[in-house]
Amino acid sequence: MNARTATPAAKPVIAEVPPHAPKAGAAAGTPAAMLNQYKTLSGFEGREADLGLSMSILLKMLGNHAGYAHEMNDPLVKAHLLAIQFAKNNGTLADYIAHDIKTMEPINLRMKQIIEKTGIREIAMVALFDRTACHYALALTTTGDGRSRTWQDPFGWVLSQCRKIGQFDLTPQEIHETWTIPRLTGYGASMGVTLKVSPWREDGTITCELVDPD
Amino acid sequence: MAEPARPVPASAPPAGAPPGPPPAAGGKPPAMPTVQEFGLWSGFEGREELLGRGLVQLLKTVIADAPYQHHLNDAALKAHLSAIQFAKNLGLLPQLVAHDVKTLSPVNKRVGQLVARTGNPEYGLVGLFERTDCWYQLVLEWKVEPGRRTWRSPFHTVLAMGSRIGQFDLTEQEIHEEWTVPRIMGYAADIGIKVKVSPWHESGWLSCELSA
Repeated sequence: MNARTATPAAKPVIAEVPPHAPKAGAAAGTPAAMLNQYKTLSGFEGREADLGLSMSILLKMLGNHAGYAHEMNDPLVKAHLLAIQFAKNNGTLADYIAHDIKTMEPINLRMKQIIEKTGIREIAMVALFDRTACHYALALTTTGDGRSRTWQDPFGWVLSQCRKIGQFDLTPQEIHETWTIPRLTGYGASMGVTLKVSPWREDGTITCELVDPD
Repeated sequence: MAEPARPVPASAPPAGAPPGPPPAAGGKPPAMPTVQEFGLWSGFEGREELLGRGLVQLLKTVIADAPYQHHLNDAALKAHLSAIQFAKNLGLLPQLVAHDVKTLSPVNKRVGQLVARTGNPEYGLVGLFERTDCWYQLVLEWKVEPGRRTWRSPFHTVLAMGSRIGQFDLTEQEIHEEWTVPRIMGYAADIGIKVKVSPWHESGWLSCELSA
């Protein structure tokens, strides 16, 4: 720099360095929590290996076009189809649903306590749809909030492929009516709320709503 | 001006070639890439929504650490455990295994044709394990060796958490002996290969290998 052309030193500009939104972890208001708000965190710190492994599986899944384009929920859909078809063949589908509702009771009864304590019945919807890997890993298109959730039937695509080679004789409508609806209404009953599930629609759109008690 | 971090090559190198443009042969300029090859592609063009949905599901699952650290296989494990426990309660577990083997037989017999055509039973192992999403999305820790696959039983954490609240009375050993082993043996029979599955081991590490 040429000293003769230098402009007089100006006061440095102080940049804005705002804290990030608080994250779960250190107790709010403590120095540790304030310090954490200045860190840029992904939320996956310490879980890099699990994240990398999961990414690898995701890319493998979506790269698999053998027979048909596989989606992320493929093995979960097939695990459910296998069990539903088995129960149907044995005439025990209603028993299987009762078993499933009973299996989920320890969690759903806990949710009932939380709903009763808070008076917030929408917690049932969060528990069923937003918090539960068993739903969001199955129904990848779920949207909605508050008292309603909507998703696309997750079984039709895989069923249409697998029926071609004789693996299943189920239909998406049959699954909706004899498995999805009774399970959801059963889970709702365990949580002490009433749920209304839409009847089968040909485009596969399913809606579940929290309704007021009679 | 500084060099770009990633210089644009004169042409795309063929697969497996060392990096850099291919040398000019006989004074001729290197072959030009097609317009398509000149672009950079992720392989997910047109499937961005599918990729996004998969990523959201993945991130939601891996970040869920209450009441235990969830892994990508969580929902699939629970679906299997629920079905196995149901069949066990009704005394129908061998029938569920037979149903499963029969359901998979159209696929396994197709793999069997490949084994028969090539005479190479390794195709059978690939069909059973690394090609099958029902396997690799369920079992997250595993190793591939010629003629042998080794994996860690995936049920431990989910089974322990579920048993604690009375959801299951199964044990990992029971699942291995009455579900995993007969299923693999049944699949292998349809494929037309002979395999040996290790007995249960307390470490949870198990193996399947080709046998004569």
